[in-house]
Amino acid sequence: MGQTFAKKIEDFSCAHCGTEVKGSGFTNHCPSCLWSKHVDRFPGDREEPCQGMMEPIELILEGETENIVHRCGWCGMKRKNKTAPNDRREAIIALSYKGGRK
Amino acid sequence: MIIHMQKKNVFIVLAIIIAVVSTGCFKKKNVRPIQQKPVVELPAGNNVLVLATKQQGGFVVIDAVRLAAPGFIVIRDDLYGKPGVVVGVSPLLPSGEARDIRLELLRDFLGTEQLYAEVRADNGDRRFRQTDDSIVLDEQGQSVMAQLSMEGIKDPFVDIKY
Repeated sequence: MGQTFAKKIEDFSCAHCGTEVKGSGFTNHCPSCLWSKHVDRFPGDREEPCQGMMEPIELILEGETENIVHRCGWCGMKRKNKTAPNDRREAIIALSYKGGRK
Repeated sequence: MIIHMQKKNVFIVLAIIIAVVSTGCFKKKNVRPIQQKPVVELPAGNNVLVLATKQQGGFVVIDAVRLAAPGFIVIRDDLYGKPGVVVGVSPLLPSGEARDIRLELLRDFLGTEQLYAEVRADNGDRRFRQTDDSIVLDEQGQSVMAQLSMEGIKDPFVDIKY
């Protein structure tokens, strides 16, 4: 079966910075610190048993789309996620410098 | 005799004070002429942007802009010679001319860095969103964009603390 997307609206408390996040159904990272959690096998399914914390390690610009690369601190899996309109811009700017670009 | 001497001293002191005060009054005042900022001429046509190519202090001043439709001015970092991450956005600007728009930038600058200013058309929701608000083109079909260099307010070698 192909990859599917399951929209699930969930509010959560960020396990990295403690921010209370109101989910939109597409929320896969904290808008304040940009950290994520390895809970999905396919986007939104919540079937992943790993549950490791995913650190934002890189920002990639593809055209006008900003993508955050998350890496699981437990299993090392990397995943690319789009930024959200309510993501803290200062955190995105800081992430764009994380790879030592300048 | 002593009283006479004291009176004489008082007169001398008074004379000195009057002399000093009167010299101060008649001294030519050093008045600086008021320097008026020259009015920036906007080139003809719709969707034009004029700003100084060298800016400093962590904010960008847009000298003048003329928009055919409401939009935003967006400041972007340099990413290998191309516009990168958005580091500042103006409030929604109405169509027509606007001058002296001050844009706060969301990060500090160390040394001199290249930035880009570009004009984005609002898609109607009155909020800037990079993927939804498209780049505005001028009458030649080129994106309305300007390159500038930002001189940082901080010396990178001053703030290092051990």
